[in-house]
Amino acid sequence: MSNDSTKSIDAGLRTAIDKSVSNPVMFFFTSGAVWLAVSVLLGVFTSVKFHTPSFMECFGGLTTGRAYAAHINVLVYGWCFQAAFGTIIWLMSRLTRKEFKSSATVLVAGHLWNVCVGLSLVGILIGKSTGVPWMEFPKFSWVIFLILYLFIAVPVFTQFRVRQGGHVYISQWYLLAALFLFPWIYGTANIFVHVIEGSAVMAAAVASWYKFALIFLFFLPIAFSAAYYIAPKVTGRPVYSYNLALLGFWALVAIGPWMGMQELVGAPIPAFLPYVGATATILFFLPAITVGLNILMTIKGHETLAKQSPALRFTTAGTFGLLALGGFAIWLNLPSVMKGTQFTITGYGFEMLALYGVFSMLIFGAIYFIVPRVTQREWLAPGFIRLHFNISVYAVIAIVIGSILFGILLPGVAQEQFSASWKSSANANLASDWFNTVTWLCALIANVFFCFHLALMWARLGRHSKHPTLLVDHHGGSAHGADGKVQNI
Amino acid sequence: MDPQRDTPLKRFSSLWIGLFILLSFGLGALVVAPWLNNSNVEDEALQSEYDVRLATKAEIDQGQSDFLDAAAAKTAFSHTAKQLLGQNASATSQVVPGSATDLKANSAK
Amino acid sequence: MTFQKFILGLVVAFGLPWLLLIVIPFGKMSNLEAVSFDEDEDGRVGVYSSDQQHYQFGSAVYGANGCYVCHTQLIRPTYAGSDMWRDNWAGQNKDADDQDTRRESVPQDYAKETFAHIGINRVGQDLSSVGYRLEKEAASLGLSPEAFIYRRLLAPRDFVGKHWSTCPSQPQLFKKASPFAKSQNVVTFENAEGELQAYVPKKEAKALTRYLLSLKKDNQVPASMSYKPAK
Repeated sequence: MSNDSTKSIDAGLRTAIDKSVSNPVMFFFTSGAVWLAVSVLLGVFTSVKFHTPSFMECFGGLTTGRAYAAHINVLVYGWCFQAAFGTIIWLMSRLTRKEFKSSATVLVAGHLWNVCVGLSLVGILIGKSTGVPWMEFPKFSWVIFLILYLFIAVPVFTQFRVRQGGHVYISQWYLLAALFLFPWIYGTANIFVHVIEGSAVMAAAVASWYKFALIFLFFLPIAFSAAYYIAPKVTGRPVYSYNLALLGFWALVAIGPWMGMQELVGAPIPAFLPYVGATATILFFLPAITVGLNILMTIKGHETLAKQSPALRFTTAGTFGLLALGGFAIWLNLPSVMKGTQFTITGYGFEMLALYGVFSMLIFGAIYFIVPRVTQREWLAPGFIRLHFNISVYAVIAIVIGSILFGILLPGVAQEQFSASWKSSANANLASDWFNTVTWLCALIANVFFCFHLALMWARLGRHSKHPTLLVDHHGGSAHGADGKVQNI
Repeated sequence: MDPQRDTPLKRFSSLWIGLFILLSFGLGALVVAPWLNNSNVEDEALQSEYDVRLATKAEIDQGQSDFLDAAAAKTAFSHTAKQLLGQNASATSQVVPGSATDLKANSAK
Repeated sequence: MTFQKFILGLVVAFGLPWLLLIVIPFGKMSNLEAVSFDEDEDGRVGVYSSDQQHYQFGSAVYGANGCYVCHTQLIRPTYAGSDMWRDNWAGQNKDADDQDTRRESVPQDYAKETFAHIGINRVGQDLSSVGYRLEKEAASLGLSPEAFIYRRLLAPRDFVGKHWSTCPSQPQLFKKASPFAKSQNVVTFENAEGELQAYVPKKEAKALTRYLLSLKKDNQVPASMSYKPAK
């Protein structure tokens, strides 16, 4: 077979695969983006309630506590999960080089997931929250979510097993790991917190463990798998080091399940538990640096492309976010720092850096790559993409400064001054709270544009074009890069 | 191209293998649950208090039974019983509460 | 790497911490042995148990309204934090017998609830022994502890020395009522426009109040469980 006909067969296969997953993937991305907007709105509201509690006091049910629970849970179970599902399905289908046969099943599961998130959100707002951090959705919901997850995970696993022979990419190992780890983590956490009646304080420890396990063993692996696909694809080179990739993978899988209980330092639980958690979180810098280095070295030398390609730009930013996360993982878990910051906004800042600064940025990169391919249309407005990117970056910087750094320097220090009245510790939170409002306002602006742009693509109103939408400075002429061949990569 | 990989059998087996792997640790948690189920620490404390009380009671019972002379008790009981049986029934001026006499007397008040 | 090797690696990498961090500690903590007092060291006999009440509904209301977002219930040993040294957090600096009853948290403090509200943030104060502080503040204002708490829940900043508080008002726990209602639980105050407003606590507010007043986690623990240095 000649090279050209192989290429066109490949292109035909890619188009067929993209078509087979277009409905569920576009559904998950668009629906997820809407949940992101809802969560960000709730985030703005919550952050305002923290520094101005009389804000909208007329809405009796929307107290700080309920709004915070709603904000976090919609962010996680609405946006993060659906973005993850869309990414998993497209990536696995493309990497197994086979059309996806279970789109209908997955789509129905996705719709029901939406119903469940919606009902659970209402549940929190009317006072039925369980009071368990990151598991505040009413008790009924976890079994439903787990069953719906199975309807999505099993078809993806089947897709892997019936794959076209050949190399299994590092992205696929990350996806499979996340696929299996989630029900193990979710089942364990819910069974020990909601089903088995036992030690109340250990239930709190399990909930803490769940939070970190979810971030580092489900969301981040999926984000890494996207980065490991986008970087080589857009630059046209293979991953910098396959051995480094495997090392980073096994490091994350080995270290991740030990993280989390450091939120309960000093609690009346076996003393080794929180300190093992802190140590494991410090060790997270290993996979963080490994993955970060691998991705950045793959992109190295293609800095112009990293600026111009929306997918690569977001991927690069997310990778830098990962390096920052690795650094903070060390700093925040030193015993001297933990003492002061254990009960400050620093923890929330770290979680948001992971979910928005790393996971969301890497997934945005994947979305900007995937959507044109499954809709066979190009993005309409580079300006929207640029806005989404720049303002998201501001939001992430605001998280780092306002929640993490200020959290350490202000309430972190004030709380340790035990002879002072509590007023100084309480007031020390205000700077972070205002920064938080700025963070979520930025995220709101960025995501309104993202949501709008995505909705237009979902409605198949994108540009018919042979050229990808790139973020180039153009002085007259086309914004869509030089004339060239079909870019169906 | 590897057409042999995608067979109905492979898809069917993937469903069950997948389900098994996905649910393994959740099922594992349910399996170990009986061993974890708490004998609530409060019940433990109460149980220990019961143990102390039961031990004290046993001590008292032991002391009383040591002090008790079964033969002498039997003699005393049978002697008293014989005396009671030997007595004849006779009239008494004691009014039984709730009897017709008592009720008549109360209604008269 | 084959799929079998991959799954084996994953199961081992996850299974070990699952067992060692979750299953075994949870099992052991759920089956704690009772600890006895020592007559010589503690001056009393018997078995240690918690004073806390089974206020499960109150605990659930506390969780459902997100109190744990801003308040904690954990007195850490001094190697982990300075909670012991804050006035009246860990107990009473001076109780009725002039004793310092402050102590670190023990597992039994949470045994009467299904989920320990350790808390995620300290915007507000720690609530481990808030029962004492609430009673004291209520007495200083001439109110019953319940009436005081209802007012605090409805208008947290409406008190001398509390204007800086960012505690939100919780009107959803109350029902609006006529200011002249006969119920002894009516809470009245003037709003910003100078109008008289009246609220009556719902069962959630009553349960939460009972729960908060019961938070007095400072009863004596046996010396073998205590961090107190031996005399």
